[in-house]
Amino acid sequence: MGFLQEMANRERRLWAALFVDLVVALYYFPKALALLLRDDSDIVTDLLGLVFKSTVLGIVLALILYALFAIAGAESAADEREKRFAARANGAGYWALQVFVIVLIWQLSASALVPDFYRIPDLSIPFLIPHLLLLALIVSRMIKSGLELFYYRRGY
Amino acid sequence: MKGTAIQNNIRRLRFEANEMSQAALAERVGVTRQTLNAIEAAKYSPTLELAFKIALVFGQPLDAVFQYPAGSMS
Repeated sequence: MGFLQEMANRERRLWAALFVDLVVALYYFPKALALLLRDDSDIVTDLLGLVFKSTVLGIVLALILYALFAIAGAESAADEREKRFAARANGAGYWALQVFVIVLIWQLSASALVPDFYRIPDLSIPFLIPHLLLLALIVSRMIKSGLELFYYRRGY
Repeated sequence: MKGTAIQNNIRRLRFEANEMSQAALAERVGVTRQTLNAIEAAKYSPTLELAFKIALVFGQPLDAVFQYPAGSMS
């Protein structure tokens, strides 16, 4: 518990955000992938159910963790060092998101131009592209939180 | 350990100011204790505004609190 006491409140919140993102991603994506690959045209209802459950899971986890941290102490406004950490981490997260989107644009364009060569992943699978973009968003958020935590632990 | 070339006398000045705690100084200049600790350990360079605030708390000129050794530019 000394480890937690030593942290700034913002650092605890970042750990919580990273944990929630990780749990929700690990819950949602394997199930969603199984649904997408199912040889069945009627996956919409199941997919909506999964989205609902994952959203509730994320909200409940976040509420519990943030309530615990609120008991530990109120969060003050970010100071200049914390703002610098956030700016650097945001830059890295944005960079990762850009790379992923550019690769996806390339894949989409290439698979239209040379269909026999660019078949992996099969982007014609329904709902695959929105899921790839969702994954990119979550991964970029996790990179942002993870890097910010790294700066907090390093101290500068 | 990588840090900043800017040296400081904050620890000594705190001691001379009735052993002011890091938390108390941090609160007076509007940063977290962790940030003040990083500045004191020369791991983080404060902005000019924050450096002036710290100097003002101790009633000292800026260069009595922070120093940039001449050899640091090479």
